[in-house]
Amino acid sequence: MSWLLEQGEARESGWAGIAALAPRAVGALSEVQEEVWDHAPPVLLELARLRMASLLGATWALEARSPRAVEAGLTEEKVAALSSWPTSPLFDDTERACLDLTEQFLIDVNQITDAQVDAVRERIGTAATYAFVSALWAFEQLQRMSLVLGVAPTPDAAGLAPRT
Amino acid sequence: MPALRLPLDASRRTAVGSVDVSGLTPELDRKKGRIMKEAYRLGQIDPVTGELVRMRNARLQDCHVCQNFRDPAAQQAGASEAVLALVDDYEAADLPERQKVALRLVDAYLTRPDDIGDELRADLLRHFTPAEVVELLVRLASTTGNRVLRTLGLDDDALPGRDQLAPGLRVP
Repeated sequence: MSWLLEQGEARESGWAGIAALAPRAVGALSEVQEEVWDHAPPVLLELARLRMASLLGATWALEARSPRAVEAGLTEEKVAALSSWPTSPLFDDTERACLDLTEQFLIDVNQITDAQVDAVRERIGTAATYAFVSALWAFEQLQRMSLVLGVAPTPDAAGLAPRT
Repeated sequence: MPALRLPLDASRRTAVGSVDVSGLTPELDRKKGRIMKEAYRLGQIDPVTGELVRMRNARLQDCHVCQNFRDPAAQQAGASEAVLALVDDYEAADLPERQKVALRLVDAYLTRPDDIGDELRADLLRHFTPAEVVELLVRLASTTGNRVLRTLGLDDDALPGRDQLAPGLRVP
């Protein structure tokens, strides 16, 4: 249970208890987590999400897998090699460009270079680049919020539930 | 200030001054925008505290759009330029403890979310209801959307009349 709910009269624990405090607002956050997968290649998004989870220390996010990315061919071998993406032969140039941008986004957006954005845009296009960066933002915020609250979102809330 | 990094018309601007991206991913943008609408609709955080939180994030991200924007409700409630200028050194400022706790949450969220500490947790529970803490967090999540603007050079070009953020204040 989140520390935020321990002293209150919450009827639900975990993420459901957090969402119950502000259902529409927390629900809106979850809607974006789901929506981003429709606008950029799922494997690229999942690699970025997992790399971010590793750097932020969001264990739940690191353990979860996007069903859409797995459907699209993401392998556990590649996930296991994620920390060595700059040199591992498992990663292609597009994945490296996206992971490079992901790391810099997390460290300091003000130090991102034109070349880092160009490297992504030239490979996946303008709209997908915009969506990819929006996804970085969305993934990062959910992970930060969950870390602050000390509670893991449900797969539904994280946009990681299997599609029905 | 980065130049526009997507092949868009830089002269087409939104009401707040960022480059208009409508047409790229409208449904995603609609849903992104809903986060902010729903967070502000909660309305449990007083306008001045909310504006200080927004401005602290704006300063840390060096977002020009966010630093240039003013919430009229917060201005009416007392968020003057002099008050907003206190966010850079808020610990030393003459601000209510509730507002300082909210600003500490901003810093913890952006710099060490995995270790916000018992003291801050206790302070948050002392000064805010659980629902108010969630509102603060969703507002933060929403306003950090300026990271997308900064990354892609969609931010406003100008920051008239205000000092640039000291490098030490940048989010690591």
